[in-house]
Amino acid sequence: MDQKTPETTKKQESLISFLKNYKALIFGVIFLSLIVNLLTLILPRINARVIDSLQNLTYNKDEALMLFGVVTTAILLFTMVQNVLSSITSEKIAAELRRQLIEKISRQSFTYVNQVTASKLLTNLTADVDAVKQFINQRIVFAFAAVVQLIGSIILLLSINWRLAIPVLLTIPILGVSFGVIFSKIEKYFVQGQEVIDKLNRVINESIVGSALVRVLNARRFETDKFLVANEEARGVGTKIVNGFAAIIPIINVVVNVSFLIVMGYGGIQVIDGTLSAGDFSAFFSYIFIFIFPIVMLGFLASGIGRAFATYTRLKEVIDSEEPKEGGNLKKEIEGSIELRKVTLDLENKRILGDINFTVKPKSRVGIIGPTAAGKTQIFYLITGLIQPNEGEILVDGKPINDYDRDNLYSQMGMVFQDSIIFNTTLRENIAFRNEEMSDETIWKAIETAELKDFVDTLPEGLDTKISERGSSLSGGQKQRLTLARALALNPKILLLDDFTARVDINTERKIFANLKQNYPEITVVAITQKIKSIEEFDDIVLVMEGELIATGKHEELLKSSLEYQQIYNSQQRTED
Amino acid sequence: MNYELSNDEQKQPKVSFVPAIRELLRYIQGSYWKIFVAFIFLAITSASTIIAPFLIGDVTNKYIPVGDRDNLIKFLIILAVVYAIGSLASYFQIRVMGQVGQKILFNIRNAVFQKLQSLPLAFFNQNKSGDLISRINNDTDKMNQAFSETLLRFTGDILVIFGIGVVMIILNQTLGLIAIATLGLMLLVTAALAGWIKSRNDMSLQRLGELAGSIQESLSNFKVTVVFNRRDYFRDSFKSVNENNRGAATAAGIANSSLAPIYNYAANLASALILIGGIHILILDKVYAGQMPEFGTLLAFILYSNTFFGPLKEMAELFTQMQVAIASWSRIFTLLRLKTNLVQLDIKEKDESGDIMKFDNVSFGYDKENMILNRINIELQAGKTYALVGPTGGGKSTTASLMVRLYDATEGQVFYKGKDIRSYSPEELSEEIGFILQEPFLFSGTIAENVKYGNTKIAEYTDDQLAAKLKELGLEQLIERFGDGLQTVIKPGAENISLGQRQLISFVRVLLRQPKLLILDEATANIDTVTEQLLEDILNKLPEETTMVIIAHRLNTIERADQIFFISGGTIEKPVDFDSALGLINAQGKMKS
Repeated sequence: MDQKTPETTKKQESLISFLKNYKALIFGVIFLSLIVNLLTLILPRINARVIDSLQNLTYNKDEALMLFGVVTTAILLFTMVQNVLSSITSEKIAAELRRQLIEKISRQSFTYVNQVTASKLLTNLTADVDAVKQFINQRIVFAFAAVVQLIGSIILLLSINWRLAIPVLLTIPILGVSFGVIFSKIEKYFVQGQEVIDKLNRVINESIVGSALVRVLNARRFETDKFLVANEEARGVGTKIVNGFAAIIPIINVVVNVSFLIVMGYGGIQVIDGTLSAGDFSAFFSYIFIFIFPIVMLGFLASGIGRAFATYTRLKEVIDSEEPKEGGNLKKEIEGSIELRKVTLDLENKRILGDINFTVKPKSRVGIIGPTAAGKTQIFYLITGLIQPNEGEILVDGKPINDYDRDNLYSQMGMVFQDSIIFNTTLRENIAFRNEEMSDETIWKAIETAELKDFVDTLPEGLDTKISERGSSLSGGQKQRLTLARALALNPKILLLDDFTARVDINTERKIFANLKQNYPEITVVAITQKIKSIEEFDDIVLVMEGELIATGKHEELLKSSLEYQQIYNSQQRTED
Repeated sequence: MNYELSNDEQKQPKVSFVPAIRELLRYIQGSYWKIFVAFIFLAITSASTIIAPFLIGDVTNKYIPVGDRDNLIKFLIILAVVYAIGSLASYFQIRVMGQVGQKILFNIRNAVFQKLQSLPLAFFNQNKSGDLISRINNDTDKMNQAFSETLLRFTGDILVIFGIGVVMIILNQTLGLIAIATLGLMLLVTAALAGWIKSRNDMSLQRLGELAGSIQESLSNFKVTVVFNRRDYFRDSFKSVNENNRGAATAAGIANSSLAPIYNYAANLASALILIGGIHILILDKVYAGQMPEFGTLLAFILYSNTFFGPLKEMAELFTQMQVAIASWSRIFTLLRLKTNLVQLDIKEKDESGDIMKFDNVSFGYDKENMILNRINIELQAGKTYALVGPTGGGKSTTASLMVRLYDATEGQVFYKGKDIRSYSPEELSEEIGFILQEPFLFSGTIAENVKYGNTKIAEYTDDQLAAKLKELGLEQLIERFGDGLQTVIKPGAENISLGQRQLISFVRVLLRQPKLLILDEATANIDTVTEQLLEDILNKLPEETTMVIIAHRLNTIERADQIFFISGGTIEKPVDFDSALGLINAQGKMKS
């Protein structure tokens, strides 16, 4: 968050170059603001002229009223147009920023989103974009207005009576220095405040996502205590910020008042001496109001500009993040063979998989079995290309998967993840996810294979039933079977299942595998599982433990050759009849 | 049982200004004294703001026309003193009010959080988590802005406006009335626009919530959009919420900036009228009548116009901010008004069977059309092990949830140790009943923090004490599997460890509580069978009186159950032995095919 790095100018350039696309709108807003400010500066001059016209005996009531009426109405109209234009511009920019962010995120790799974390991306898309928007909507125009008003009022003060103007203007540095000191302090607290708010939000978020656990453990007190600590901190920082602001306002008051005293005393003497007209005397008072205000504004703005640029830099990091070069140009109908060749994977400097080699023949069925945290899911992610190995290669039909055009490859691979991901839409759209034009025949074939037909038949709205975000209307097993149907609806050459059977009972599972054989005879199946029973009849079984491939072979072979396999088998055998 | 914080505008209860403020006042309790002090400082500040122009006018009237320099200097000193007192008072006033504002905000955040904690699980099932999080974060932040700024300035402005209004009327009735009339007119304009401004803000906040909800969903489903090559779905589903949000936000922006120019216009026009009126009344009329023209009073009026309309212009901005705050507050208020239906009841009815748990004709459903359980009866005896089996979606998890009172039965009664489960406090239940959830949840932090979580008995344990305790219960070998043991770091979302490992930690967490009734809801589904055997050994070593309820698909895990309940289609069957249970399960399979 510290914006006082050497790159500050670069950051500013980047936000400014982004805003260049909105030149016309922004200049429009600034132009309108210029008019409004100039008109506002004229008002005290009109005041002075009217008062002086009394002494010159040229006073004309109607003319004065006319003048005031025209100028104030013009200010009203121009301000309104400016406000509307400003809202449209800033929201347009915010929506465009969000669009760019989403555009980029949607093209990013799975690894990237995992590393950056979803919660940070959500902050980027909401709070950060808002901060940039505020900057555009308020700060740019205000900053411009403030400068115009400041310079304008200084010139006018000097032109009316420079002897009186100089002592008044001398108060500006006092204001500037004290603002600098206080704002740099407050700025520090703002950064702290943001950190505290982040912490507060984390506590709130976890208590919402983990709400079931909190209730089961009756840990509300625990949550509340965690929250109280964070909340107390937030209050502490908040109070410090308020105290800083408490110091600013009296300083402004003092400067305004000193200026008044100067005008009153020195100006009063000049009026007595006849070197200052009564109208100008009163105009001086008005200009003090006009020129103090922009100084205050600039103080506030300066504190925010650094943050807006820093925020934009954070967004820019996402927008400019390097897009992974995923896949090549190879397009072909695959047969379905898979090979892992000397595959090694490290995550966060930890060896997850070491030197994994195995082959899956086309149209065969292969099971991957192994204990918790053996690296099974990582193998799944590697085969899908969601993550890349540190060493070695993954081949499909003898060609590295990175050579394949991703769309071409994915259209032939059906994947069922461990965590059943359901979209907040209809059953039909969830199943026909890849291709919305899918025929009912294809959908029903997938549904029947996944043993979901009975369930869908009980739904009054059938395929058009809406499913809520957490799928609370579906049980764990139903969700898992729904994701299977989604994968099958592709008519894939390869079906990848990650722990698919964990929440499906053994009978349903048997039937699903039987259906699979019948309805999709050509399919290559790779199933990660805990249950030997599920894959006993498979053509090949790969046993993985702690990131290493222990053994491969058919069930009967492994039973003879692998001690570890025997151990797993025995642990599951007690229910055999 | 409707906890839906509906986004539908018609269902959203109307929250108007007065009850919202009345509710707010509840959070100010305890700060009255400080507010009183702040008001005294405020009064002093406002008095100095009001007196100063009066003095300037007086000096201009009396001394400048006659060239009396000595008295001019004397008055300047008095003026300086008035200013000094005013500035000092304003410093203290802002400081004290700032503290009060922060305290109120602190209280509101606490209230929201406590309310969240008091609501039952059904609330969290009925609301989208993304929307809920956004609602709480965004809306308390809007309240924060209102309290750290608006409240302070608003009260000050009101006092100054009121004071100056009075002084102006005293100085000159006609001119004073012009100012007051403008004020009245502005209040009318404000009242006319307030509803529109608030409704635009309501809409904008709602759209923002939808935006956050949509992003949250897309990001957590990211890998599926990647492998199904539907990155376009990600973008397209975002496109419409982004456009909706833009439209609503633009409308809110325009609404929020509508008052200021009008106030400004009125202030400018009124100042001009006061000037021209002043020229006629204070100067021309006096000259015609042969009196001294009151030039100083005119100057005082010019100054007063600035100090009178300045705060008024500011109030336009503050008022808009308040509309935003009220819109936010009404959303918070809607949440605060929700009441849990899971309260502790005084039910005298007893169950004399001696069972540790008994379901007496229990039915459950979220709504009447879709009952999940139908009049089921279960008796659990202390020290025995029970298995719940059956097809997915048959009602197993729901039955388990009723046992820990995550929900209340729609009909019938659940008894724990002879007393209605609703007559226990949550503390009593959680102390004796352990429940391992289907979806393991870990908090960011260390494994030690996670296994100690919510357990008051071991909350203060050091790692050594905790390790000793784990050893005593035979759980230490489960923790040893993690690289850094108890100090292994869990990242937000627990993405750095596998699902099976999360289940292991959840297992340890519950066993550390040494529950009397232990419920495992597919708690080991993603754990390998060898480790599972280890877990089973640990379970076997539990004290004899521990009652266990196991939900599982793997038959070996339920083999050693004393009794098996077969739950399907919301009804329950109680096969006499394991074989007939197997028969039921197989029959279920055949029936379907």
